[in-house]
Amino acid sequence: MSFKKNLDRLFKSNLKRVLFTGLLILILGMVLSCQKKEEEALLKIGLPEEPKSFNVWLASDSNSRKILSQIYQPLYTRDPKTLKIIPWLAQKDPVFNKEELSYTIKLRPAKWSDGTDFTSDDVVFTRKLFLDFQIPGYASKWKVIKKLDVIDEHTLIFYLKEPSAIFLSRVLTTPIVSKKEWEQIAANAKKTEKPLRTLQNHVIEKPLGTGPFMLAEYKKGAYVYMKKNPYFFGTGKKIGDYILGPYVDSILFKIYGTSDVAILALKKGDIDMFWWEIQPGYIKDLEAQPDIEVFLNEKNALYFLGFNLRKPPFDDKMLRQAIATLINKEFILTRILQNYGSPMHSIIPSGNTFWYNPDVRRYDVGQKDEDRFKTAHEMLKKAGYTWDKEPVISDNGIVEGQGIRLPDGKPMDNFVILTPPADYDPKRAFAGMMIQEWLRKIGMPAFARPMSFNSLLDRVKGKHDFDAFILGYGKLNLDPDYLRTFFDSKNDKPRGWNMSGYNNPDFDKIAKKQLSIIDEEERKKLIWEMQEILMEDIPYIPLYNPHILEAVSKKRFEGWVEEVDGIGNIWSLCMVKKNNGYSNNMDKGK
Amino acid sequence: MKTKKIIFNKLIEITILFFIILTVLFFLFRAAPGDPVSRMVDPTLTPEDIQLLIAQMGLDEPAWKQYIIYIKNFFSGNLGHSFHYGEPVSNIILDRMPCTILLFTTSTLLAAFAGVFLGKIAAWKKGSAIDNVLSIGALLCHTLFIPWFALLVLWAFAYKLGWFPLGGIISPELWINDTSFFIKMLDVLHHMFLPLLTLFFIHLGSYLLLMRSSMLGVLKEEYIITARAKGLSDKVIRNKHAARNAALPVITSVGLSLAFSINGGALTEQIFTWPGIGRELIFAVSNNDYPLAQACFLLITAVVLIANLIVDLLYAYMDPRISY
Amino acid sequence: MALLKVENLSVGYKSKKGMVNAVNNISFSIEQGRSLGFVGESGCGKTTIGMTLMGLLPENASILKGDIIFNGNNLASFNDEKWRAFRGKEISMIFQAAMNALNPVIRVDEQIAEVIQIHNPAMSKSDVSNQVKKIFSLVEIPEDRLRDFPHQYSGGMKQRAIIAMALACAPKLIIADEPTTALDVIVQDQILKEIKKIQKALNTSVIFISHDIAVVADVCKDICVMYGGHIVEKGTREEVFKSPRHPYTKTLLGSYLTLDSYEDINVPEIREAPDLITMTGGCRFSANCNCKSQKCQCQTPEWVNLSSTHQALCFEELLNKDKND
Repeated sequence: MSFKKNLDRLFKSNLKRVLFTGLLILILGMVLSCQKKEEEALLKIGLPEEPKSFNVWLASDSNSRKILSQIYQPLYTRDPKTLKIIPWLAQKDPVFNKEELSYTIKLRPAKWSDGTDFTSDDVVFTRKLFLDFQIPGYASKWKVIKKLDVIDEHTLIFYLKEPSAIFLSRVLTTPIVSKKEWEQIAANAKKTEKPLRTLQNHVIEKPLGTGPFMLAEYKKGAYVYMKKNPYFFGTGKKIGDYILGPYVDSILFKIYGTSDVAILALKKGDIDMFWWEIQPGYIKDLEAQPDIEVFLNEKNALYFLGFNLRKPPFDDKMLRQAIATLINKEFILTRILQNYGSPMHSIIPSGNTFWYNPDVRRYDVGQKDEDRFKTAHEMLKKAGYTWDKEPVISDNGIVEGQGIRLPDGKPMDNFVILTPPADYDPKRAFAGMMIQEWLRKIGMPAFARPMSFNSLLDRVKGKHDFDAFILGYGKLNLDPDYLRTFFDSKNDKPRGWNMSGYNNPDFDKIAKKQLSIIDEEERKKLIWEMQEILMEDIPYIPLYNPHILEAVSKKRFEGWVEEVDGIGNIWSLCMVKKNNGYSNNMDKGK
Repeated sequence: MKTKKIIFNKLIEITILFFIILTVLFFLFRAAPGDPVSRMVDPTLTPEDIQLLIAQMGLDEPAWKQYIIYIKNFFSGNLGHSFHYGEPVSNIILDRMPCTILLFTTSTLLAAFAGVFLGKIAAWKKGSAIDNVLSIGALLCHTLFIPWFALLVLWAFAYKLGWFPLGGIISPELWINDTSFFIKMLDVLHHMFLPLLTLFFIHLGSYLLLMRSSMLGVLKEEYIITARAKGLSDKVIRNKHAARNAALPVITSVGLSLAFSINGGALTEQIFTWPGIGRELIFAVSNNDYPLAQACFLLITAVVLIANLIVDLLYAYMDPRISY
Repeated sequence: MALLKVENLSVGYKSKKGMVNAVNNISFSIEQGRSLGFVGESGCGKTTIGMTLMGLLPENASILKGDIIFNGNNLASFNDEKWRAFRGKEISMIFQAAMNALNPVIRVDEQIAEVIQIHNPAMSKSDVSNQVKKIFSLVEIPEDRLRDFPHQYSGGMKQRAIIAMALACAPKLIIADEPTTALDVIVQDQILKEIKKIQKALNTSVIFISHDIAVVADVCKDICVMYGGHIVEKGTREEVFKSPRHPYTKTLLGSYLTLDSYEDINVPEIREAPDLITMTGGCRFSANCNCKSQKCQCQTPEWVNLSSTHQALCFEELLNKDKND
């Protein structure tokens, strides 16, 4: 009975109480927000999602990597300006002995963030860890090392099994971990049934690294707080063109579930930088803000239309070439990317100037529909394709063709162009639709179908059950060895990277050869040749390389370092410093 | 004594249902295309690497074997490790669950109370200006497009006016310094206000409309005339004789919406960056993190089943005609 | 002085077609301790009378004219506040149990206690509960059933509970609107006895509304026969039932079957109820009357005194003509 009475009473008094509490919270909130005081240089960075793990062997999401890349450091890294490999944890360039196939590497006198010394032992331990656990992505690269000798605490000699062009750029750029941190964990994990899984599942709360920052506090679901590493080897040193800091005391990573809110936070000054790509739609508004600076940079990315070369109709090179001719890359760029990007004409992005071959076969014959269709039509006719009703291409327009037949006289079956769904990547989904329309105009029964990313990969990469697809790599390595990864016939297997099923023995030979050429100029020739072959055979039609747009607040910090793939990099965090002049102005303004 | 037995029987029923759903979920996830590593589009991963990862996750075994292992672990209280977090799934759930419960229970209950209160008034004064304002308001709330409304609320109160933070559950700036527990608690409340407000309005509409129509039905009942014939005041008639009967459907609705708020609230959680279970669920499903996704769904299942039980019991308590 | 005196009361409902006079210019009175029955077919306005006396007319209905003098107060001029204090205390109503007249989610004793509480705010809780017990024993509901919910009661018990509710504040007048309609004959009989007993015990006046002549005849000393919003005949039980004078009363009685007269069943022809809106002048029953004259359609009939207590609303010559037959 009393419950019922209480219920009645609640019905009555609820609203007042809610209003009152709300008001109270409001007032307190305002008091709280006034309390914020900042004495130290605290850099606030917005992240689009929470980092999933600080276990460097597990973390595969970009946000975890953003944090971990401030902690675990490699021996060599790329100079953001020249993109050349430069010493990082190593003191200088390796000394190469051609006869012995050995690299002698001298380490910097660096310290781990707990103050202990970073020594050769750590490098040896890291290698052992890779091999013992077959750590994916690392073990396969480090296999090339036959032997690793320790000369002294800071000197090592790597002996290779065979010459490797990517030893410096791919092997010595992997992060080195501390023996102290991992030895016991690895020993325990080894005893278990699934050692790698146990290693990956080990929860690392305070990763131990040599980088400019260390993890001070992680509040699940809320923030990551990093403090300057007092032992950072780079502090005060000139590496590349930069005298490294860090010049901030700490970094606070805050999470924003949507870009909309993160951008509001940036505009309001709640964060100094949003470490995520910004969609072109926001740029106009952001550029109009006096406190916001927008950075536009090239990406080292590849977005492409891939074919299944294992079966008709796309086993025919002529058909692929004709389709490449039909596609208007400039149009896709203007319409879908709003010109924030560049069209691609080779598998290597043009921004990667050293390796990019500008003289490969080009299929674009101008922007005019009639020109492209006329050329493609002739190419197809020459290759033996026929139509029940041939397309008519004149200056007055194009009359759609119908019933295209393969050179053997069989009608072309309906084929599907798989794309990621529009909510995952609208650009690729819409590009698929555009390409579908162009192909239909010439009479091909093309159907663009957006499909969930998991299913798409399962069909294309796992089961090879597809006709054509649009995919992309948002962040390619600067070393072009991926040409081999993507098109080597050895990788044409389920879950292998040769998704198209491209099989060209000549290509395979060159691909293998370039891997062992250490002289860059010599290797470049081979890489250029590979690009020529690929653009002739065209298993992938490269479509576009979008720009990366990022935004920061100018209110408190300056000095962001731009490189390929934008300002979100360790260099920026080592160089950013308080913007005193600007904030003084602000104070006067108040 | 009898009630106890009935609850016991219900619990057994629920347990059986739970395990059926568990089984269906397990095989459903395995049947879905792709696997946890298919999303790792890192060209440095060789097919051998991927095979190794899959084997390490135990996904190379036939599904029935995986199922047996899963069930075995389940009974020893082990829901497995998340493929992406590497942490025990139970830790993740325990981290996220309180946030979701805090926000959604509070908002649903507040909205239900307010909906009952306002719906009661609207029905009582049917056709009056108050009724019109409330009904139209409720319809507007009911049809609100959540992301749009949530963003609008954030834009207005957090960005333009600056009264509230732009999402999240705490202010890191406060927490990284030593701050008293009291201030921290207030900080959480301060963060909770806008999502609470959003969810409150989103839920309010349907509760108000439900209560209003239910109340209108009840007001036509004979016992309302009886109550008036007794000389009872309007207030007593409205609150004691009409509202209690009319609130019954609202209780069912609250029970169910609490259960479904776990996944249904994902959008709100996303926009307000509220570290709840809904966001985890979406992440887990889209990344084929089977253990995590399964655990999330099982949690929803459990909550739905238990909420149903509670609603049943509460119903029996509120409406003596129903007995078990 | 009469406890209740109703004079020239008209009650109308607003409808889309216009004002409908559900009760038209009726007058009656009832003495303390007496019982008055209203009979008539559904739609004749008898329930409206009950509701008017309780001040429970729906929103679209209103008293058009007339006075309701109860114990010296004119109820027709009561405002909401006065009504609230009055209802349940001075006049109460017995509803039909089958129609959900008890709130299903509130315990029976609580439903009765609240009447006492609201009208006797000063009364202590224990006094209230004693009072409830007393009333329950009066209507012969066992004490251990007090805390039950209505659904746990049988139909007869529910009806008793409703009677108890009406009695709770010992009102001077009880209006019983079809209190036994949905009950089976045995229970019906018990309930009627109950009502009679209580009436005698408490010396309350009862207005009994029913379409069931037998029931009314059983309980009431005085009878009003209603048709189309008018009282067409009133008198003592014996006068009205033994020697009905108004043609409608006769038809009504004729339609009532009794076992001892089943041989000369006189089923009246199915008639349409008069259209209360379009009727302007004349006798409302004229369309269906089997002894009408020219006059009936244009002239309004007047009260004819048949005895000091017996009156009929008709034309004198017609009543007499009928008598001569």
